[in-house]
Amino acid sequence: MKKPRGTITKHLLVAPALVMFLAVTIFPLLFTLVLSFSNWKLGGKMQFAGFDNYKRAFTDELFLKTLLITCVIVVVAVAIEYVLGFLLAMTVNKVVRGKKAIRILILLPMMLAPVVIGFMWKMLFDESYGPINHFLGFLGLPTVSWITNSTMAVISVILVDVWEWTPLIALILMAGFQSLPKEPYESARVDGSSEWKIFKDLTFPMLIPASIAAILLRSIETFKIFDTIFVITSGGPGTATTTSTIYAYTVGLRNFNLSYAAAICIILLIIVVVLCTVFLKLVLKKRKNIELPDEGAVAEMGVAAK
Amino acid sequence: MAEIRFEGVDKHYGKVEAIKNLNFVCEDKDFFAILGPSGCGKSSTLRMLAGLEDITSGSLYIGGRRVNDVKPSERNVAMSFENFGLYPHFTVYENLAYPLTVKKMNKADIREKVLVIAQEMQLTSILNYMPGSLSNGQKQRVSIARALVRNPDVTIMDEPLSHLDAELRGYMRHKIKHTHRALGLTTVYVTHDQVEAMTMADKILIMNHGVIQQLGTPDEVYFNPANEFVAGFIGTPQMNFIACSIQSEGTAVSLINPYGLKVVLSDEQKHMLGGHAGPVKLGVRPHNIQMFTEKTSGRLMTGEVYIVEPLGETNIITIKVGDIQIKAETEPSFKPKLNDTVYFDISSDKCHLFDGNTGKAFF
Repeated sequence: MKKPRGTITKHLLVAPALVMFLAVTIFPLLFTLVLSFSNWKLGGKMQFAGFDNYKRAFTDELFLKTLLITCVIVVVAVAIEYVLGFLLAMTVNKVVRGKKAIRILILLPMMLAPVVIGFMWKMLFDESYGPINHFLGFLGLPTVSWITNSTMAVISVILVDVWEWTPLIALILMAGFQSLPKEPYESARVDGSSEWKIFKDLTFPMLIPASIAAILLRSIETFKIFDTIFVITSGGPGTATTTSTIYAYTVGLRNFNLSYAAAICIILLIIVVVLCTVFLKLVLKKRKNIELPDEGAVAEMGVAAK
Repeated sequence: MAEIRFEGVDKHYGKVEAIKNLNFVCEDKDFFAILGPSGCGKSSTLRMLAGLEDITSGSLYIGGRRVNDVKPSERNVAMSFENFGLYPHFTVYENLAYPLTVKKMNKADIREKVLVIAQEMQLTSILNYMPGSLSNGQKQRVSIARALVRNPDVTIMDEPLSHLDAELRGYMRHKIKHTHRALGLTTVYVTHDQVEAMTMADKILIMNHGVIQQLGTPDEVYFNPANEFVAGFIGTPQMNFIACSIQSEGTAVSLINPYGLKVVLSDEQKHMLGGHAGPVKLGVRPHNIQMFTEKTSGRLMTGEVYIVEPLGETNIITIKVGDIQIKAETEPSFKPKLNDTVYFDISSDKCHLFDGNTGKAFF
């Protein structure tokens, strides 16, 4: 046998990427982990603190509140994005002409930088000078405190996320729609299935893999939401729109309690991993296997049937 | 009763006329094959029957009911597709159960029916598999089983065996034919393979360019082809066609060509030819050509061996006569060398004659 040549070359070629990966991903993660078990204020000495930071997090009412806010935003925003994205993809899939142009138009919000989107919506939402309230007033409707009322602020933040990210879900599902096979639909029509049943039994189940990908992707991203909210409300009014990431930022980089911020980040990471795993477990149900009878029983049935 | 009747059916796709004036009847409980080359309109015919395509004009009746505007789901037809058309996210069991679930049958009945048909098609051991993990032969059996599970009035099969290997095809031919008989089905079967049509069907409808060429039993289309197309399409190796002219000498009429071919017609054949004097084509099947290595009688024609294809029980020998090629099927012991001169004879009672212009058969 010939010895594979150039093993060193291969490793050398992979090395830069590996080093980058270690430096950018693995090191910060490990550093954060170490940090979370310590008691380190900027400029001070690092001291081992055990689970103190974690204990503090679970008794910190504000942190628990931010977790709740984050979860509400994730669930509501992703649910709306999925429903709208699905309808959008289904509609675009039926369009015969100009599919490409529509696709590009749909993608526009996604192409903007989140900070730009933040400033744009902050301007739109402005209570006194914003165009939305201007139009509402023009139509004789009461104006809305988009970002100054605690409840409205959460709704507004969800609204922006939906506006920004529905296109992504629509895009993923459009790809799903396009890859649907044609034949099962003809089978189903001949088998006597109605349009609604065809959607329920064929289209939707066959789109489940694409749906899972879209929902998972968006849930993880929304859980980490930071930039748009930071720009629009900075977590306010009060702490109404302070998500856990914004809270971690405030704790770590405003109050300079880096160890506690690190613990919060690690908790968030664990929550995301656990939630995703649970979600996948729930969605990817094991298929139902039927119990196979022995051959004699079937033969008897056959005789009975005739 | 599930008699199928096409009355003056046309099908246009935009400006393309796929099917022109289709008229035929498929009797109840017939195994009816629609045979033709690719693009002859046979699949369109089938899809109109299933209700997957609109009928441009004309009428289609199933069991005496006009079904032009009846939805596929209300025609009680079952269809097995060339590409199987299985539901990829269902197990084999769920695939088979689906047509029954749609009918809201109760679960115990569904289970019983599915298990019986699965046993019949030898699918019991794979009922819990997903279609993606099956072989083509298994997929095809699932597809056929699904078509049969709900006692349809008409079972439609669109080239069901075209994706199978030769051995499995032979097995499935016999399986389908048996199931058709056993369940008393009315089956419409589309294929481009004349062997499938000949071996399985009670009636064969041969189509070309969207027009019916002939409708008959396998014997009829084989022994009395209506035209040159049918004669050439049915039978392997293909029938030889030799352009000839008609020569009358006194009362005798014979067919001749410039290369010394001469076939004297019988009185009956002369009668069937009528007064036709234009160009004609002689059609003769390879096994009706007798070959000799030596010239023994005065009537023999001469040719040169071009290709020898030994098949074991027979040899197919292609001979060159002038610039035409003639295929003959001979005993395996007859093994001439390439470029040998051989002698052959065509008996007039075994040949067919077609109009050289229209291709219509005289006999």
